[in-house]
Amino acid sequence: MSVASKVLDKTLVSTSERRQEADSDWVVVQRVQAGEVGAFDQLVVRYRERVYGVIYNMTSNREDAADLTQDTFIKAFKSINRFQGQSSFFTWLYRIAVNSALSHLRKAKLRTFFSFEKIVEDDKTTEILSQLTDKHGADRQVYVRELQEKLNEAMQKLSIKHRTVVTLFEIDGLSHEQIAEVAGCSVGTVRSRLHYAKQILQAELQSYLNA
Amino acid sequence: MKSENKHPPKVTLDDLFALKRAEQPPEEFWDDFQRDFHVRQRAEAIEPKRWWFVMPRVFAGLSRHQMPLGAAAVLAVTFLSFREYREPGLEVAYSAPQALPAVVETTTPTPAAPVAVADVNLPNSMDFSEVAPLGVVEEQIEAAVASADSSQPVELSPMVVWAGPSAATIEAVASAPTPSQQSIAANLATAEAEQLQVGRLLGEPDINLAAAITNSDSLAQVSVPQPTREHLFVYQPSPADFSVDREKGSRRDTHSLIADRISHHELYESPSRLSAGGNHLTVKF
Repeated sequence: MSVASKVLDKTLVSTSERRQEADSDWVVVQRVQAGEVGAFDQLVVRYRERVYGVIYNMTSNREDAADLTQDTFIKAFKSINRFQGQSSFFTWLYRIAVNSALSHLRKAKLRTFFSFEKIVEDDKTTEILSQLTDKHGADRQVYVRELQEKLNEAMQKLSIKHRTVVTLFEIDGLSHEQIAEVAGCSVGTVRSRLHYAKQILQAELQSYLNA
Repeated sequence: MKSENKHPPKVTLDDLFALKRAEQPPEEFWDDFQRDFHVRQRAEAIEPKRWWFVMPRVFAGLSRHQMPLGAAAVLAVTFLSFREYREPGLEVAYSAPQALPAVVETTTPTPAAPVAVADVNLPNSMDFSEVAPLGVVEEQIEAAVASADSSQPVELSPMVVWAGPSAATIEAVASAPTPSQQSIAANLATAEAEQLQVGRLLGEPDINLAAAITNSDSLAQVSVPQPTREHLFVYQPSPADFSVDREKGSRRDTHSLIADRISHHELYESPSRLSAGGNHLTVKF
């Protein structure tokens, strides 16, 4: 199973699976709160890709994403004794990650330097890319690079709030309710932001999309 | 270099999101990530926690007792408010104008006869306008000093008789042999008059300053130091004690400067340098 497939499996999970995951998280959290520090590694391994993905798609910079992902888990570790289990652990962790990314973006507002991760190709991504171009070899790599640049540019043209909603919904697969909980706004606001953001992205990526 | 796509686009926005989702770091990245995380985790565990980091937990524990704590705080504030509150009328009790019968009675022209001020029954409230200002007392004392040689009886106003120094004090001022002693005696008399006025207003018992000074320990009562300790009391100027007199350009030691300063006439001219409080007299240099 490729990395991309594993990520997809982790992100696009159903609500019942989320609930089971939340119960499992709570057991691990209680162990950490009881003093078993090593148990926190299970939570890190379980969520590191998703947390990194959220931050990366918000910042479009892999170095920043790596640092902020570290910060997120360190903050969670330091504050885990305050976690009372009133929300699911991953929602709480996402909130820390999103707040860290938002804080960073506000500080580095003027910076326009982006760095990209490589697209890990599997069956689905290969099919998508072949629909977009018939190039092969080095030309294909150049085309994929340009496509990534274009996608990141389009994402960065969204406001931070709209980018957050699109990232959490379209890329990470959270529900509207979960996004509302993480972003601290109403479900209606989430839907509204999502609709507006997709309109912007449609306009920006028109040359790649079906009419 | 921008490559051209000759085929019509056949993907949706969701497909492009899927490509974004596929942007992930390689497996090696996570090995480094986990190692770095453990280093930082250990560093955070060693670092002592700040006091404000513990505050949320403290307040979380107190949240169960919000009602009793809030009620106690309100009660405490209310108690303190009532305790600090004073009626405005109580503070102006001394300013109520009232005639002083004692002053009227002492308008007899017998200047030298001492008046037993302690026998005067003072009311609780008193008119300050009736109290002689300190300048008047000073003038009376100066007149007494000036008339010392002519041995004329000093006429004091009734106000001074009530509030001023006793006849014995004035006599002591007039009979002082040197100007400096006269000045000291005059200042003492002024301080005594002031003390009497203030003390009576505050309801304190009269204090005889002269007696207090006489009864206090004097240098004469200090035992003579042993011969082995005598040299400790002898002043021996050190080189650091010498300073240059800028006006005269000569070198003078600090000891002589202080001595000059003490004997300066200005020291005795101002009664503000002398003050009395309780059972002691303070001279300011």
